[in-house]
Amino acid sequence: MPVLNDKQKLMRRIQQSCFALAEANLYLDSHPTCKMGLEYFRKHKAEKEELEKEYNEKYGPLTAVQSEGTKKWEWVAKPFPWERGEN
Amino acid sequence: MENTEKDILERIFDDEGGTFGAMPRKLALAMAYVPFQTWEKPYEDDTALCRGTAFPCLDKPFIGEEAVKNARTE
Repeated sequence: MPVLNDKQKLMRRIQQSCFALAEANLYLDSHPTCKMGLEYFRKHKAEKEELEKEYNEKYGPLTAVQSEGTKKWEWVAKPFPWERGEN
Repeated sequence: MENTEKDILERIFDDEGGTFGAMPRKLALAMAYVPFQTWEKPYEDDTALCRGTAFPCLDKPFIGEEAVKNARTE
């Protein structure tokens, strides 16, 4: 496993949360009232939102629409999330 | 849970104390069944992403190549 820098570590955690959400989605489609399943979903939904907020603050918008768009279009101001290299 | 949905599930599945079992109470002949998945403790997030599923019960790696290697030839 390559050594991940902070940005990549945070990205990995976002990917993990997003994957867990996809799994929760599939499970809840057939078990819509399962309390444990709903709890698992809520936990990862909150986690994902928090991690994305952290990513946006530290490394710029994770997706274009997560730009603030107040002073300038942040999406193009910093390296794109998938770009390797600095920061 | 809306009672209609609860009634339906209770009628179909073995109700082991509120959590629904995997198999329907009455099985009709000549019909295929897939056991109903019941909740279990999911993998940790990092493991789930690597295994491609959050649920151990669905973690079924294809072992074709190993199986062939172990196959007895004579």
